Amino acid sequence: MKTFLQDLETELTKKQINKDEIKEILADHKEMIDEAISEGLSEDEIVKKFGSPEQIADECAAFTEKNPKVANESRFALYKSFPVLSDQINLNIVLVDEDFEIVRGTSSSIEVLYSGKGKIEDYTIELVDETFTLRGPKNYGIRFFNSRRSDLNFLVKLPNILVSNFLMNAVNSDAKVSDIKISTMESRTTNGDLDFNNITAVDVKLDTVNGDIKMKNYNLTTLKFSAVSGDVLMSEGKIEDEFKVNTVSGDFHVKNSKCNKAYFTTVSGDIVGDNFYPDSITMKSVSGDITIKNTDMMHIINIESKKSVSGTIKIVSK
Amino acid sequence: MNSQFKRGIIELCVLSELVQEDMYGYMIINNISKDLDVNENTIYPILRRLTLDGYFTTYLEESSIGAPRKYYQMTKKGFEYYLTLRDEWDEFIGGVYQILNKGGKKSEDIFARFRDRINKETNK
Repeated sequence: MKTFLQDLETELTKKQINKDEIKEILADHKEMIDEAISEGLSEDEIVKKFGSPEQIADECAAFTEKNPKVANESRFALYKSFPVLSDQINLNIVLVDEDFEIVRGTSSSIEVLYSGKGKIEDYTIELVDETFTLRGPKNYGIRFFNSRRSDLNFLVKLPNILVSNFLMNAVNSDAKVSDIKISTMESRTTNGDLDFNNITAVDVKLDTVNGDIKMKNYNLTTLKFSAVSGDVLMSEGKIEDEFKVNTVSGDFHVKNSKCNKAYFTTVSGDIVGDNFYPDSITMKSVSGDITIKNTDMMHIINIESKKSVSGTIKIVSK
Repeated sequence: MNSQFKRGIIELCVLSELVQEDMYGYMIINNISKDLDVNENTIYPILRRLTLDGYFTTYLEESSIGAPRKYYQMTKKGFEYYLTLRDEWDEFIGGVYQILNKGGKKSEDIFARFRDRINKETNK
């Protein structure tokens, strides 16, 4: 029966099935043939029972090709578009490894595009009652047989309307969000990097563990920000009301920005303001330094309080 | 038989086998080929596809023949899929029998009716 397995391997290789899958299919067949032999089946009976290796390869290849709707790896393909009838929507994004980008498109529909080799049919992608959801497979990662890392990337184009509630939950995904108007946003990320550009929002809450965050051209009412070790760079923007920053060991850099009340707290990360003009500021630090370097020293910053154990806290002229 | 149609039926059979208990590949193939004239090369690819789709998980268990056997276990998703297919199948096959039985239930009845009709027509 050696030849059966050899023929099977040749046929599977011809179909360009990947090596790991071939190994698995061969192991499965070796096991079944051993069973047949131990049952005392003759070689002829076994050949009859197992049929032709070519057909096995054909069938296996049919669904390895068919199942993942393969998009061109470097280019995005349109998956679905959802017409939006309301003047605002909620966004709900829950992903693990997939990178994604959320931008303003030109149509009045939400367009979902994707690239990569994952199984897009395992994702929840829907618009129900003004809430758009993009969620990864539920049993993600615990599946024994199918533990391959998902290779999908998403691009979501939104119509030019208000996002009233934006929830984002990602583990390793890198995300880019640009040209969006938001009412409230809450984002929780672990390792992924976030990049915001041209964002108008009322209340924003960002939590990150190791991921870095960049925000450019922003206009917010309040921002609550907390990071463990991720670094942050914010530039060219203003916060109408409260700006709260809480960092453990990540560095925080804010440049060419204004706000009303700033609350900066750091354990060992450094916080640097560079032409940063809050109306008032409260600063707390354990060992990190908080430094604000401004050109316009005529702009008065009211220091509500400043406390530090071993770091330095100062506002200096550039 | 149309191979796509046949594949659908085998798929339902594989699911039905695993609804009962966890089984290893050779056992599934033996059980099905006892009642239906199908080869391993039809059953195995279906088993594999259903596993990749998350309807079954697999685990290894030592066996008396030496090498460990790979057992297939139905997941909740698999069970739900089985129920859907089973309903579809029952409805379909019910409909087919409705149509077939219009001509009579037994071959003798059907033949008798057919013979009468042909005779009437030739006597006209």
